[in-house]
Amino acid sequence: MKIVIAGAGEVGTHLAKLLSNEEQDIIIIDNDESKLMSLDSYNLMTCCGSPTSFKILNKAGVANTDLFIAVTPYETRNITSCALAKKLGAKRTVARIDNYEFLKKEYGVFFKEFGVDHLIYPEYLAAEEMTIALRRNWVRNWFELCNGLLIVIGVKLRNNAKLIGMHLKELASLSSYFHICAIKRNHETIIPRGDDLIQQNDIIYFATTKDYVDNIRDLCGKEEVEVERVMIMGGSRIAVQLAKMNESKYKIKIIESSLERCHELAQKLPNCNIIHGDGRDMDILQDEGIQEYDAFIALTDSSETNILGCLTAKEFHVKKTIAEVETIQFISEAEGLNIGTIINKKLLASSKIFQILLDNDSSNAKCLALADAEVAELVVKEGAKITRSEVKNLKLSHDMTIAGLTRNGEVMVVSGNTRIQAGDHVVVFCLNGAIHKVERLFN
Amino acid sequence: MVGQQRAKINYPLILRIVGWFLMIESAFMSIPLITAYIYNDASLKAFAISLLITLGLGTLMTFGIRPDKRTMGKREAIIVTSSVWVAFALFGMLPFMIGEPYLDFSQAFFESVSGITTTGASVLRDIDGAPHGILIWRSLLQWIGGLGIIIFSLAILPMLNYEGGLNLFNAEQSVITQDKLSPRINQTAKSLSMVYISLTVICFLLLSLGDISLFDSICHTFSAVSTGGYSTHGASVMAFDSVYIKCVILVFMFLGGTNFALIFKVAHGDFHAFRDNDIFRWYLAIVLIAAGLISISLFATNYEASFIDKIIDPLFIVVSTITTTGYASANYELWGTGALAIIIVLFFFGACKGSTTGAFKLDRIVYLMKIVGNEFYHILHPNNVRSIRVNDVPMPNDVLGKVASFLVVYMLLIASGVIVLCFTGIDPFNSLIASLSAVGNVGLGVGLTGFEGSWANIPDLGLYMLSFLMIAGRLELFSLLIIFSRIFWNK
Repeated sequence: MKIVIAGAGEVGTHLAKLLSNEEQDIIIIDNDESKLMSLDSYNLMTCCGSPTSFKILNKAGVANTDLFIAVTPYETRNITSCALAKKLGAKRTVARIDNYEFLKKEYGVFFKEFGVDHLIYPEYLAAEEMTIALRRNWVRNWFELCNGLLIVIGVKLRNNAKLIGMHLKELASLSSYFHICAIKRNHETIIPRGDDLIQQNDIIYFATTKDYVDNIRDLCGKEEVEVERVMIMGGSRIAVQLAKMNESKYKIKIIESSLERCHELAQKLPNCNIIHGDGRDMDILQDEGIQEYDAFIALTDSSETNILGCLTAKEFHVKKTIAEVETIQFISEAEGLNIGTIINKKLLASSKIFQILLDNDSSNAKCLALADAEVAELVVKEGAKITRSEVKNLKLSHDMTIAGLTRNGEVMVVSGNTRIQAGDHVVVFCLNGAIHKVERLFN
Repeated sequence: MVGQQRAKINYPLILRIVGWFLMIESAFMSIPLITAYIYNDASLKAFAISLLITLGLGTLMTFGIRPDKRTMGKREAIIVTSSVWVAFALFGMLPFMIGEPYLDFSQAFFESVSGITTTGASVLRDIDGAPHGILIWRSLLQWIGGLGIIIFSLAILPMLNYEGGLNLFNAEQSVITQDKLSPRINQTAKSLSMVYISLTVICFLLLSLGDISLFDSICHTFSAVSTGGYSTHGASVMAFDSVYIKCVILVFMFLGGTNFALIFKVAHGDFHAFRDNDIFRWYLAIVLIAAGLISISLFATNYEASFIDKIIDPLFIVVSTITTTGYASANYELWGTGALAIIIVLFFFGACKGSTTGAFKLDRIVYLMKIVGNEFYHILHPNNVRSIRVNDVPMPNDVLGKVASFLVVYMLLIASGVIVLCFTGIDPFNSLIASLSAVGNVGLGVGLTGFEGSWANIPDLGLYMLSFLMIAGRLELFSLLIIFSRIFWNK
């Protein structure tokens, strides 16, 4: 598939590298030659120039592009370049936006007519993810798939978990209500097999249904806390989005170091408590009564500050901490530390793009990103490769596993003898670089 | 990611890839084998043995070695590229040693290296009497080496279509800036190969219309398009004594020296591409001016030749030199010292990047000339800020460093070639000519290595040195030389 990406910023570069490894044809456009230079050693083509110029778009061959992704830092430029690309012949266009209003249903048709097929709003996705994390605060990741029938959760095991020291095959005979799709251990995600052993500090990804979530929590030795008070460090755009979503549910306090920004926040968020100060300062945290808070969310621009802030909050026995970590290299390290949930805008944006890639017509597919893996929900098409035989005879590659499926609204656990049928909603857990293999199996 | 150390060089993978390439080479060897069978000549046995050895070892290396990791970094790519070229030369020389003309190791290696690097300098004293198998193998080696062994393979082998393959591509084609035709490296390689193969087919068809045997037209097609220069006759293109043949070869040498990405664009309907390309305009201008000067000098002196030859021959020799081919359509040593000086200066030039030529390359010269012009301008307007533009694209500042260091290394290589050759007892002038010709993959000679002489006059040590210069020149210096640097191996 030919994909043109406009904007070699953080999201654009991340997408370009990822999609190039997924064996897609990538052309990336940016004004800044130096940003493109660092991409030269990847298997893709670069094109220096403005993404809103007809000449440059034609040079990049937009006319026969399957997907045009505009992810420059400017919303208006993204929308304009998508409109141009669409008129020039791009099949589908995606623009990154910065404005919640645009996502409203009634404007969807307007954007379609304008030439923008999909909108991505990473800040909104991040806020959504954090809202879930606050509600399901005993898990690391919580993904609802197949209209909420199937749930994939990631849990870090402490020494009180009952599962530790067990082999996967023992578990399989013990219970049939969940399926362990993946284990993250020492910076590496593995798709486990029957003789793998569960160890302390593993992050285990379970696929299960709503009814059995409590059983899993019990197995992992976790408790759910009722969150009432939330402290946010850093008044970034994500913080505003998050506060707007949740100001009626929780008592929110935001600590921001810039006075000017504090005034803005106070105007935008009348129901929140805005504090001017440095969130890294112990005295301020204590003055603001951090011990009383149930959740601490660090959303400053610096990944390091966010990680350290969360660790400090843990010292004060805050039960749930969430850190925004934008440096992808740090994610794995941060997960090893005692930080509850990690948010990364780039991963959220790229999972949205994968979702668009996986599904050509509608929003049936769903794709959720982890640092080095994806959880994808797909609808099996008529005559797809995966329906040809039982799962055990398909010779699936080792970097993917089928987490579960729903057929006619009923959840089924997938075993070796299951035969997948057209129309099933299948949830696949796959490591990075394997998503194109998944696509080939299902389409 | 975390706690990452500098990875050890993945030797099993390197050996395995070299194994693939040996298998590819053995496939190419079947062509001279069939030729030798058809003409029933003396080289049949030599090619059968060489093919079996190459295929056997290649198969053993490909299927016997199982690398644990399949990732290829920059260092692996550089070693693979250099070792593939050396391996191709080492196995390509087997037929020269096993059968007629029974060359010794140094001469066979030189002949083979001179082939794949498209130099075209030969140590064979009796070319007309050599077996057909050997003659077509020499031309075929040049054709394989012309576009680049790696590019060819990237187009064929799907397993190289990832970052590792890109590293290989960059190691073989280290040019100033990249010319990617399409997003994925194997598509780019396929497009370039298609241009190359199309040129080859058209050249063959046009040549066979002339007064020339089928065998000669095949061999000359291979070495003209690749700007190699091996001929099937000792007298080179002079042997045909036909203006038509000269013109066809001249045109295809010229196209072989043109940037293939440019030809690709023109072939796809973008006819302005030639006109808009600075380098192409310089290329054409230099060829016309140099040939014009020589022609005038021929008309001015009482050199004996027909009117048409006085125009075509200088053009032919100039194109043959600047594209680093090395065909001769006349004995240019009789043209006088002025003409000879122009030709020797052209040894240094080379044609466009992304083509089959060697030497310093016009792209670099044009860039440096623009910088020189800028400096003159600055003397009068010291506060003026200007960007250096090539093909109307502003060049990033770090290009100057790349070009300057290339120039320095190029000069150092020539100097070391001269010194080594002088120690073997060759006079400084001939040493300089031979070194220039080798490092630029030109293959023409003057004096000792020239029309009356032969490269076989050079002692063994000199031949090894020249072989080294040829490979270094073909790989654009850095890909080979960096292996000998301490930076490459330091932990």
